[in-house]
Amino acid sequence: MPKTIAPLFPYLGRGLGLRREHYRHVLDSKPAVDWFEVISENFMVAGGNPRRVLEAVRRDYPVVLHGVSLSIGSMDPVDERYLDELAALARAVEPAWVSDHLCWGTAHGLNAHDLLPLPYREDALEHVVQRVERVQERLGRRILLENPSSYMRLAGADMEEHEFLAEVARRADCGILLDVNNVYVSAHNHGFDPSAYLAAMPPERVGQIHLAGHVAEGPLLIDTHDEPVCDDVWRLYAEAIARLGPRSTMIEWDAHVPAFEVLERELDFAARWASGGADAEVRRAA
Amino acid sequence: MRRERHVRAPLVSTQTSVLKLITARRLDARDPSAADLIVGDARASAAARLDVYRHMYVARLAEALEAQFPRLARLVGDDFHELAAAFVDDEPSIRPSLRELGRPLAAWLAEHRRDEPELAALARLEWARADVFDLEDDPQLTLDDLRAWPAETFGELPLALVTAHRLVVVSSGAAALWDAIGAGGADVLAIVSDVPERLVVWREDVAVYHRVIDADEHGALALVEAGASFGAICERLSVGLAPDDAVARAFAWLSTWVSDGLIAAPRVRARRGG
Repeated sequence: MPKTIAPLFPYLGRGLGLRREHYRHVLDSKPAVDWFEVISENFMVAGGNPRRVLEAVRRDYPVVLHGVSLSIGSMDPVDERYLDELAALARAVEPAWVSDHLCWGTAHGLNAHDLLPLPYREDALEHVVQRVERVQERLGRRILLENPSSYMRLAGADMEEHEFLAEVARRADCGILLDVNNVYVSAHNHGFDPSAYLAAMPPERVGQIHLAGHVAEGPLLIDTHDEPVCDDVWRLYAEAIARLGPRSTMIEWDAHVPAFEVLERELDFAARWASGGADAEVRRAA
Repeated sequence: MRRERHVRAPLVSTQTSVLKLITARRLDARDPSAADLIVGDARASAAARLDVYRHMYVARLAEALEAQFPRLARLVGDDFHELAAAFVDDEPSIRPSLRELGRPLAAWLAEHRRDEPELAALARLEWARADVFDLEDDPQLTLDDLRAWPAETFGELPLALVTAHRLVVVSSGAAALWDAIGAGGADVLAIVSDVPERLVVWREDVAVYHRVIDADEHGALALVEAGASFGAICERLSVGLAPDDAVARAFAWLSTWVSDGLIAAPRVRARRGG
């Protein structure tokens, strides 16, 4: 049974993304949240308010670093300066773990600042594995890679994303940050079975789960991080927990950020869904 | 397992072509088409799927610029998105962080919006404010430190500005424009002129400040920026003032700078080799 396999990452409980809108509240009120995730790039600076806030939050909570610019699948050379800065931040913060995305975002030095999907095939797999190993060696720790939400499949692929991600994790000995909303969004956009995706994840390597909201734009779902988690994603999350066992879970809400209490309520929903709460029960609680 | 009917291009050329399509920039790829690179289906065509990324590329960079130049964005209004798109077309991001995105904006505006000099002036001021926001935190020289310095060697007092500062020269009226937009007004555009306006921008704790200064104070701060002693400031002033007046004026400036948190403590100077 998958649940009997010990995960490679500690269980932290339920966390939230630390966003600028809530700095004051978090520092003053020390809310009952188990841990915080921060966007690495926002804190890869010399000083000022961002680093002060992070240091203060770190004194009271476990923190994990989540990057958006590693560009692990890019054919551009690894950005050594970026790696140096990330390594320095990790040394200073001592996060529970460091994560980024299974994607690429640069070519010829130009940065799209997006999480672009790879063509899932063997040469891309070898390329990503080699880069993950290099990053892990530099950071001196195992990293987690997150499945991106995507709106296109690049030509020339001969694997599904879940096969590719699971194989990268095995070969590079890294972890997986399973974004359940991204699975749902991409499954809709590309017509694959989200349950099959979950079933392909090696349980011991899934260290963290992301949940977020999305919107429909025409025929596609867009991962916007500006809405509550929808019932379909909650159900998929419950399915993931049933397969994997307890996993550190956080809510991502990055645009039109609501009051902190709204996010805490989403975390309460996560606890109910994770414990097998039925749809109707959760709705009554709302 | 899904087999594609597309030709399998090398990864590097695939990424180059896709990025070219998303950013509409000329890289080293031959002109590709979305259908060559992206798998379309009954739900959405290759072109429609590409459009999602094209739209997000411009929207994300425009949003980052708006965060760095909030008052410029308010001044420009609904056209800011179009301005941002034109800017990133000329000055695309080449760094992992968006922090540096806005650095060339003031110069770009000066070249491309010459008939609206207030835009470049305001951008220069806002960039300096954004730039100092997350620079290194330095311990500051205090008024007590000043009082404790022996009077007989006060002229040798070595000075240095904290890292989180910028000396800026803009078109006259930029600071008033910044104030007016902050207060909700937008009817002060005509006040920006070609006469230079000098400002010092700095951060103390978590707050960013700026202050208009005259040419003499700007010159003195430039000397301090270069590591001059208090005596060197007095010497510069003594060209046009009696020695006692020069010392009095320099000390008045120094008191203000120290009160503002602009002067670094000796430990910082030592670390810089000063």
